[in-house]
Amino acid sequence: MNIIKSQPKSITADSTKYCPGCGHGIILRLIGEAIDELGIRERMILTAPVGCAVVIYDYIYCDVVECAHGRAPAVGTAIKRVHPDKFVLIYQGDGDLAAIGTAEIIHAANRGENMSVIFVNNATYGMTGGQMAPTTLIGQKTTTSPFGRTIKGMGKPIRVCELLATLEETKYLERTSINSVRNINKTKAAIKKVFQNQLNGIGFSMVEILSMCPVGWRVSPVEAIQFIEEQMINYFPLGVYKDTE
Amino acid sequence: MTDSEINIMIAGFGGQGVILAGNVLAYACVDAGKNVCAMASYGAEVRGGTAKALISISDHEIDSPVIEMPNLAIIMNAPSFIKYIDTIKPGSPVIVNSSLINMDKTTTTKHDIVGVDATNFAIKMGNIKVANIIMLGAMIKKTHILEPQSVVNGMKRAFYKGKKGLYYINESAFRAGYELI
Amino acid sequence: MAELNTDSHDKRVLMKGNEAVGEAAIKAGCLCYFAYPITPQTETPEYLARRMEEENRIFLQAESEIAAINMVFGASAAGARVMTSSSSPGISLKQEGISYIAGGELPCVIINVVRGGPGLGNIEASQADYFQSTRGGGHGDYRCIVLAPNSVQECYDMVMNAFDISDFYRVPVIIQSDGIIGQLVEPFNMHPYKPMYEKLPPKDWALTGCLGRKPNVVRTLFLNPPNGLEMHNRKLNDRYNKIKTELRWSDEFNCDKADIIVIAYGATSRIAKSAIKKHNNNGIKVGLFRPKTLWPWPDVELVEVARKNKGAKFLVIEMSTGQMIEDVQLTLMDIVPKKDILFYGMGGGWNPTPDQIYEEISRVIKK
Repeated sequence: MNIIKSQPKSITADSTKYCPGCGHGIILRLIGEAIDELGIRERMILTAPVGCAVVIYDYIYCDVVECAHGRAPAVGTAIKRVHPDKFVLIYQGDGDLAAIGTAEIIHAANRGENMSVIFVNNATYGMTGGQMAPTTLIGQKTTTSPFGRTIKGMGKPIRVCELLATLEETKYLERTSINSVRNINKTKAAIKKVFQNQLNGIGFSMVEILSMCPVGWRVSPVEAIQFIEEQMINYFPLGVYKDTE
Repeated sequence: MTDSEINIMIAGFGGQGVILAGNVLAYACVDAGKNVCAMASYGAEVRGGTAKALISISDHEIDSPVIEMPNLAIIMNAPSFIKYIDTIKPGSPVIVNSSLINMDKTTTTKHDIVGVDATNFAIKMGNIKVANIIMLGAMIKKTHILEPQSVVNGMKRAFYKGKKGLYYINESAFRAGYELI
Repeated sequence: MAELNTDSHDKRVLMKGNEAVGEAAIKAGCLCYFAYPITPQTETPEYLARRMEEENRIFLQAESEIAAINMVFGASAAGARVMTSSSSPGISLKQEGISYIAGGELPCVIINVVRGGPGLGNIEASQADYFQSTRGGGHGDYRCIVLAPNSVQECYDMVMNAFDISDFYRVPVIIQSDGIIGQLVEPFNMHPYKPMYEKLPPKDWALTGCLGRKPNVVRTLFLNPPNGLEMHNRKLNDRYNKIKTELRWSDEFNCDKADIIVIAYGATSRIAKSAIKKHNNNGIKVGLFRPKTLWPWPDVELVEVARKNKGAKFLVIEMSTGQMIEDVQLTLMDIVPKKDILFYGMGGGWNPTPDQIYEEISRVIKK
């Protein structure tokens, strides 16, 4: 029998514990493929965030440190300074990166730390059961914005790529989505680019991935994909925001 | 604090080199093989505000870094004189900068006041900033708490890594102060 | 400050406590230092900004105290010797990170040059962070080893020891200094680094990339198995108990048939010693017991002092409204009547003078 496609070798788990329709599993696979293709598993150090991706060491077979909420860019900064020859991957969600850890990501980006950041934006706090995130859309109902997010009193969703693009030491910023096969392929390419940049010593590179959280959003997996297509992409336009190469 | 301890206060306005004079004195003590413990006021002080250094010198172990009542003082300007004179032990030598302190106002205190025209002399030497070291020279002459050579050696260390010219003018200032009284 | 000239009579070096802390870290092979400016500890980052560069090591002024301690977490997880320093309000901000470091069983050295609180408090010396540092400080059931220097020499020596102790036990070590000890300029013997232990355990847990080995995971979350956290806490507690038997440091001065034993640490112990000597000169029998490790608390040593000085009164002096006194009371509860354990101190960035302590001892004698 000819094996055409199999599970990435760097992914050890048979299955994930993520909810049906969740985007983390797809992103995990794309990261695994990129790790395999670049052959970096044995030289990488991964920072696990607080949130649904906290148990990432159960899935990716590499050195991992479990960080406090939002602090991964500071933790990663130190690891990269200690081991400049190693590959440091920062994996963060929207609450982690764009709320409690805003200072850490902005200053790591501003210092131009040569790290790769995967930022999963699913517009909610998934692990705690669907609360309002800094990226929750206007009108979107969550358990802590039960009548829908309003600009007055809650502000508008934060566009992280656009924000970080103002910092001159960021080298590569792209927003992708995993709502379709075409966009999944683009996301894979972006992940690889962000990885490659670190290996080439280019500097701070990040991909923001719009991802589904059907359970947190209280919709079906199919409706979740439609939500990205019809609403999220409108507010969070896809594309490359910075490419200084 | 034991009776054999010399507890010195150096006070003036920030920028007069109060802390530096304290450091020179501390280095001189190390050179002389004495025990020394120095504390400078820190933090809220600003250039132009009041600055204070406290230095304890002893041949024995120095316990308290907190000085109860200085028994020797160098005072560089009038506001410091007013602020601190009553905290200095009566009868102690107090070297005052007569360029900036009206000597008539010092006669009512119970201290052994010595006036030194330090700032004016420093201007004559071409660098107003060495007034602190002139005062130090006068203090050593008055009290003999250290050999002048130890202070000169102390200055070599305090101005280490600094410009050599800085050391030379300060050495001259020290000798000048020593001769002024 | 300056290095020594070779023509000097005295080989001692003159430095501020905060600078000696920095030089000790250099000598002990500290590879990384991360910090944020705050009075009265800023001389340490200023000193190390220059020295780390000279030694081709890692210095980073972090964007916050929180980032600084998480950089410590990262560098330690990566296997490096690492230090941070701050003063009370900054140490409060660091508590989250210290809890993770303790949970992750990572070694590191943390300097707290304590100032007055609560809140922004003031910038004067204080000992009001005793509870915070000896009881863990952040969330969860953990301890930090706490060393309390009372001179520039001890700042230098204890920081060197702290790196070894921390690597040996995989427990964070706090150097609890204060605004007086940190700012004090004193000569000290800048001897070369002498390791405390013949051999330190290998850092085979460090994150270096899993080339040729199973991946290492520095964990701070213990969901699986269901009793995972309990097992983890038991392991930590066993280690803490081991430290309690192996690492109690204290000093005694004239604790022999004394009528009064003063208990004080850090700057307070030196101010008290001046007053005690004055009483001794007048023929009054006063002794001093000084804890050098605040955690583990030198309970066995204090009990021994109480036994040697039967009937003595104990006067606890702190630059706080009374924190260490609770440890004294707990230690002596079965052998010294509670009324004979007295307290002198004040909160809010206040320090006693030798005369004030002298008077207080006189009052206790008359009681």
